[in-house]
Amino acid sequence: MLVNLSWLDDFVEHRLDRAELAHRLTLAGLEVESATPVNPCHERVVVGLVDEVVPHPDNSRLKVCSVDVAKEHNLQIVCGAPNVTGNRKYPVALIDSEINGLTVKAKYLASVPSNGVLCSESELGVGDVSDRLMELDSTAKVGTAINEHLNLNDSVLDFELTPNRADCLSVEGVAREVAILSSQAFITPSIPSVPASIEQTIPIQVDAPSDCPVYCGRLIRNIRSDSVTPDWMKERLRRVGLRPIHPIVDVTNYVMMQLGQPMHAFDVDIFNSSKIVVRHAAHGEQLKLLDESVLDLHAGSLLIADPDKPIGLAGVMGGESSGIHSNTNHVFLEAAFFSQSAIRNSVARYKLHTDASHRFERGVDPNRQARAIERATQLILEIAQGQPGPLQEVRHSDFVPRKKVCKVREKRIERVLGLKIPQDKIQQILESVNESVEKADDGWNVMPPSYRFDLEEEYDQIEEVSRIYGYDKVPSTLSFNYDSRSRVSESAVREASIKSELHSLGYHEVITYSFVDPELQECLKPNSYAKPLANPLAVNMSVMRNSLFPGLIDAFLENYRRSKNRIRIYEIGKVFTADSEFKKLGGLLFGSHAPLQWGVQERQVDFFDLKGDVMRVLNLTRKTNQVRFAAQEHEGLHPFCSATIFLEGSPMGVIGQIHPNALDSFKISEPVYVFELDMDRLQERDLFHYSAISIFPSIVRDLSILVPVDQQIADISDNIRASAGKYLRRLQLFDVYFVNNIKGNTKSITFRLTYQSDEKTLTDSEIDTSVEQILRKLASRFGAKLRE
Amino acid sequence: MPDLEAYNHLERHVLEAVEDIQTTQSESELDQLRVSLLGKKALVTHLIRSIRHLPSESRPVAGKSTAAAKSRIEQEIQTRRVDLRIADRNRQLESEKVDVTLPGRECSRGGPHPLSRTMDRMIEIFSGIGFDIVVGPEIEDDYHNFEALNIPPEHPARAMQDTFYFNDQKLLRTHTSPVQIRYMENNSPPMRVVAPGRVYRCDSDITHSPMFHQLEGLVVDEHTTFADLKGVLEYFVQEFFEVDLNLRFRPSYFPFTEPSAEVDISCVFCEGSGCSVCKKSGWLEVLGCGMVHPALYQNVGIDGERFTGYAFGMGVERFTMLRYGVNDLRLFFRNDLELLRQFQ
Repeated sequence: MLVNLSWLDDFVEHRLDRAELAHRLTLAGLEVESATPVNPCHERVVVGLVDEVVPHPDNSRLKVCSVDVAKEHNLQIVCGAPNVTGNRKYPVALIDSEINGLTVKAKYLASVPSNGVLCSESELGVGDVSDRLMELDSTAKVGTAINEHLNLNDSVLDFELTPNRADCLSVEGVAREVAILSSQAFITPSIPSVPASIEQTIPIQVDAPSDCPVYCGRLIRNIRSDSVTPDWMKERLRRVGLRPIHPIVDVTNYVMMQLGQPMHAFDVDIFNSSKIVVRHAAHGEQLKLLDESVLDLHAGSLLIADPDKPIGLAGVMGGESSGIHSNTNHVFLEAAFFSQSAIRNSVARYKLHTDASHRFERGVDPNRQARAIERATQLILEIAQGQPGPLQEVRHSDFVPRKKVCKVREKRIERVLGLKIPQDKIQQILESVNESVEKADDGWNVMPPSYRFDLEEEYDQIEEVSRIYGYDKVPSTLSFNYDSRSRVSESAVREASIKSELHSLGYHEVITYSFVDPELQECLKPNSYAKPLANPLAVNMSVMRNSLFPGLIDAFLENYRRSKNRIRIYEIGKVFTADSEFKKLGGLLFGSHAPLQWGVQERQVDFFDLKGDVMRVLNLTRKTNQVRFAAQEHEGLHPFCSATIFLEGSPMGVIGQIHPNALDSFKISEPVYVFELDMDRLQERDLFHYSAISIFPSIVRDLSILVPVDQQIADISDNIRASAGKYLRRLQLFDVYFVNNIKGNTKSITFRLTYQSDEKTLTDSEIDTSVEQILRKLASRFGAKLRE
Repeated sequence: MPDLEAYNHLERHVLEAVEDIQTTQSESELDQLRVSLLGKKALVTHLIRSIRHLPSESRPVAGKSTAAAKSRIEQEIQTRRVDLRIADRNRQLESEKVDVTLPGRECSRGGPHPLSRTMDRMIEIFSGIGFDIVVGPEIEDDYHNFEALNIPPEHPARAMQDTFYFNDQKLLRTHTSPVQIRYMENNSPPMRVVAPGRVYRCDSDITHSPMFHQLEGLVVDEHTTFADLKGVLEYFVQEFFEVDLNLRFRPSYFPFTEPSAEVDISCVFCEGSGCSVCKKSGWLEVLGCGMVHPALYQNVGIDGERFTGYAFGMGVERFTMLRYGVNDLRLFFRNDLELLRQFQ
């Protein structure tokens, strides 16, 4: 929202400089994003009257003009603009003035002397039209500096208004705020009623009174179609960000900017003007808008219509069939109060956002419609003459929002703010903002003005008091309070510990989008449900991830493409099913097993590097002996190099190599390993518990056996543990190698068994018995043989 | 019968022995020499053994001199032994010399994502002053994300937050504020919590990411005031940036707080003197906050007359960028190891 200071001056004498004004408004909640001076032009650019235009003798595109600049002699200026004509006023840059940073000099144009430059809007920096001269209105005084004529010694404030402050979507609204903040009076402009000079009206029929409690209108006939918008009005419109279009449209925009009341003007001749109807749309109706788009109307949308058809989407945009155009003769002005909900519905439904809808959906003063019509009439008569009919008003008072009195308690203000504001100060602020303020026992009874939609309740008034009194005057108090704190259980593995473990293993945390490419996800986790977004930003972000793999692969690819040959990354985040979300830890391992260095043989990582890392993380649960890796095929993973991870008998993760098929399209032939674990399972651990340390020596035996090559090691370890007897304390696998000989394919595995008792020193024979027992069981169960 | 003369020459023998001892080069050589000097066949041993054959008057002198000779030799051997051992150890040490400038063997370290680092730091600061950490779902319903937060359908504030929808009712949360509602629904005052997490908005350009992170705070108690809110945020910001920054509370509007404020801090780059980051204003907007709106209490069944409270929400990306000088939001989600390594 833009407001220029010179317009503001019409309503308040604030006596503040631009910076101070911006500062005060910002600290009162009307954030001023920028406060910039309007760029004045050079003082030697003046109003000139082109008396005579003759063709250039040699160049058909140029014209030679005789220009009156209120000096002794007219200036001869050569000009190529298409719109230069006699008896018109234009800005003239005199010799030695500057335009566009260049000094104007006397010169010859195709051998005809030219003593100045006739200027376009863009040359003056006031507008963006550059291909034609800026035409000045007839009231411009010849010889006056353009700065003075266009009032260019001005500044513009750009506000970032919050949606609750609809009352400040006008110059008067901002001026009211400035008046409060500068302790000056708000100068209410007098808007006289314009007497009707014709009897004619257009009957107004409001069929939707709850959505249109107030509708004011006026017919104005016989406006001059050759009228132009005066320069002062064009300039004000430009400064508040509106483009001058047509005198009637400009007036309605001007009134909207002054009063905050959106207006609309209809060309009476081009629709069935026997009646204006405000009604809800019926199913199947259509409306062609001013911007030429055609709306298929939804039943219930609020419309302005003639007896035959819709002619405007109420409060949003007029229809093409009733719009003002260059030779409009008779106009009907509209200023209405539409309900916020009706306009919000239309805005949401048709995705149309206009200056009018912006104001209506935030709230417009229901008592300002007649004033707006009067102000617009006054301006139209000044600019385009015409004959006004009587002001028409259809008001359904029952539906006009009424303000109610609200109690503001002095104690409550202090309770909320933690600051006691002097009573008289509170009263003064309440009075400056509200329509009426009455002192009561423990506070005040206040009634907000009709233009404020954000002062309904006590807390609204408290905010208003604190805002104007100044948040900076509220002290800062700090209490360290642990009353509400819950216990932190030691049985919970903190996320930080898990991360720290991964960091020390060389994994970097990544954060990837929760929505992913459905195609990639399907590739990595085929036939799994992916929850689709109704309004995704792009196809490759259109479904929720059901695993962390797509994000990890994306992050991997990002780095792989940058020639990183050693990648270890992980992510902790939610994955989504049709109706739930689960927190997971996912990781990816790729490339060399160690950074390039001396003394360490370089090799590529394999499944067991990742498994070791995953075990390090799982160890945090202190349930290592409850972890099982079971070979299991996962679609998307390598069929012979993937597993389900079980913890305490139930699955909680997967690990494996990404299926080469999934990586083909990225032209990656090296193996990529991934894992994913349930975070909630990872975050529960067994509590620490001391058990007595044995004082008896431990005895170690190494056992090498030969088993068939396909035999899973875990079964053998389980078997050993089960048959070893009670003194086996530790079982370590420390050698595996494959033997190919005529007896078939076998592998040799070597375990170290550590025995110890809490009660006695074990004898060799006790150990021998155990080992024999183990070997017997292994032989019978797996055909295992002791290696000779 | 030993030659008495031999006893007289003992001194010279000792001198020769000492010389031999001192020229040995290894402990084994020394051991051999010890055998020849003090062993069964050694001169000194022979002389000691022969004393009993001397005339009795000579025995004391001979006894004394042989004992002295033996002890001298033993002492010399011991000294030499220590010297040889020291020399030996020194030689060994020298042979084990390493180039200490050769790099150590290492498995490189990873590290947290910068956003996690910031979030952890925020949580740590709030934990330290008694805040609990709570979380909520990322797929929210319209009620918790909007309605319960006093944002009815078609409220213009909904337009401020472009929402990703699944259907009419389900959406990706646009802020962490629904966690406030969920927490208040299930707990009673006093409350003092922060809720970190991912949030989503349907917007993507240089300064907007469709996914980002917020940290929400909520305190509800019998005597919680706007002054307390100012105090907590001032404490937090100064702890976070480790500088006594100035804070500016500007009135603002959020449907779920009233009074509401936006908080600016004096620019961390130019210390308030005006630079390109703060657009010459000297201030950086960092968070939004306010007193919990009474409508929320009503929605969750808390007595809004008895209890007052405050809430705040801040962008984790924003704080990370300001803290570490990251100047492009999009870098956070590209996950380039070059960036991640800088935060390990």
